[in-house]
Amino acid sequence: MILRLLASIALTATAGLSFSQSIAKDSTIHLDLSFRHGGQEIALGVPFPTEQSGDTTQVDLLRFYVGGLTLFNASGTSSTLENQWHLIDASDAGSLQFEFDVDSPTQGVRFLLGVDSLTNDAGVHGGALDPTNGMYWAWQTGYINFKLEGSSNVCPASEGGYTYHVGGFLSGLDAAKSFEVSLARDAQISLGISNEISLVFEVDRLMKEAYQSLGCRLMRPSESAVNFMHNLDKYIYLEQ
Amino acid sequence: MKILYTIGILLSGLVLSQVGNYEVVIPDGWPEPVHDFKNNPLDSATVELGRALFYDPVLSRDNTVSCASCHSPYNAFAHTDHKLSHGIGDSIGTRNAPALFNLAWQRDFMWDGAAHSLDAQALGPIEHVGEMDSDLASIVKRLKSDQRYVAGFSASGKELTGVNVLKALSQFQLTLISADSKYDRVQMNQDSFSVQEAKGYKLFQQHCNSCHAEPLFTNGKFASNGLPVDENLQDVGRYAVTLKKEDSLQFKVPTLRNLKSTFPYMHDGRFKSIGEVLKHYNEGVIFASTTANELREGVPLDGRQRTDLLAFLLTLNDNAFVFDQKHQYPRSFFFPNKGSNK
Repeated sequence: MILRLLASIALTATAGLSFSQSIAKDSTIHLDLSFRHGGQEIALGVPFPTEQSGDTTQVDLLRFYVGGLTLFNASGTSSTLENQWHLIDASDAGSLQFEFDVDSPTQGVRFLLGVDSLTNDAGVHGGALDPTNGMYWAWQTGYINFKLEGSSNVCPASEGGYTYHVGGFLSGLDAAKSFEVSLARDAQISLGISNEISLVFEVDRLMKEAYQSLGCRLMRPSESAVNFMHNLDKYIYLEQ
Repeated sequence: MKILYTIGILLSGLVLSQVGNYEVVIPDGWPEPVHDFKNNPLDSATVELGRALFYDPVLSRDNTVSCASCHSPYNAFAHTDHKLSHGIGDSIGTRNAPALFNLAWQRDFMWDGAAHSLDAQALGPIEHVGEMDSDLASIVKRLKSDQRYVAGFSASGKELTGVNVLKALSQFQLTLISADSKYDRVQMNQDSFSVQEAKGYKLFQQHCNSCHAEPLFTNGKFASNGLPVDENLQDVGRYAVTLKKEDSLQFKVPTLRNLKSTFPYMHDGRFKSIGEVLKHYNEGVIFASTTANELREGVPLDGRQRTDLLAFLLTLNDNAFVFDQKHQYPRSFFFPNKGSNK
């Protein structure tokens, strides 16, 4: 608690002066993942408007793999977590929160969304990657990087809703994507500096991208899957 | 220390071994396995667990179908009574169940290579609605209520998890090595071909060996052998996995070992006899854009040559493997109070 208080004081002292968060030595940064529409948290199973004209959508399931989750600072040094792989599940609040011990100001977050081809190539794995977690294809081998399921006006429940199972690791079909998300150089820094940061996924905007590039179904490795993953960076940002 | 991986020389072959545990012998003259044993080092306790799981219908939704249902040891771990595999509720699949042996020398599994890892492959039939229609999480739950498996995993030093169930199945299958046919004995100067078999061997080397390469009798690649597409199945083969046009109608080149035990032949089991297969290559090849170049003119053999070739192919049968009790139903695991561990 004392450490957190010190961290908060240090952060306030540097507000507006630094591009990056200033954290006292040996502080803890709490990172949470946030899924939003129009600035509000989505609730699973509850409809919300998307950027698609006239559409409301609901998300019933949102799960994906994150690998090598790392905080980095301006000089390039980083703080990472003990476990390489994490299964993010919107229905499991515990899977959305992480703590990092850091000893220097933090500039951003680096992670792999999905499971890389080398890990896939080595077969099946335990822990977060255990196939019992329902994130491994059975009809062909390979991890499912990202699952998004639900229904909307565009993909109504009466027609099966939408199902996006995004994955693939073979050459040309590799649908894991590295992201590096930095804190923004804007007013938000001075308004709400703390040692808690959020990795925000703009689900309403993401859904529009999904409708346009994937239709209502994607359940296999494909070029569309690769493109979808590569476009996600437009809908992810870091917030203090 | 189980992860140690060593290669040593033992009598007649190279041995891949995990210290204190299971040894896989590479037969003389064979290439190094392509399977990476370091990711899942074999040990005797896990091999035996995998053997039990392989024969246990607990893997299927309604406890009716095991791996061995379609991969019988007496058929060199293939299935001879059906063109297409059949599964839960008497459903019929879309492919002929392939034989399972010498898997450490295979990079890809299933006829279209949909499985790239033997450790992961079993998920396919486990979750297929027409095969076992189950799921790994349910299986783990069931196994955790079975003291035999709880004790077995404990003895192996592994947690009873989904990934370890799959790896146990993989370990057992990696022990299925067929290398004791007459052909093999001839190669080791322990036997000799008859005149007819020797003629057939020459024909084989001339016409078949580029795809069905010795000593595994497969090059491990995918090829189209000019079969007309079955109108009902409309099976495009490897294309369904890679989405590359050049992979259309390509299927994995099967081994020619143990043909006596593994009929019918081809990915859809359309040929009941080797004679029908040779007839196809003689006069039935439809040469299309993705057909193997070697088959541009088919394999023109007269009746006597086909008989000679057949005589050679029969030297690839390995009865010692087919009837090897250490691969068969583990009676002592399922009925520990009723006899030997055979």
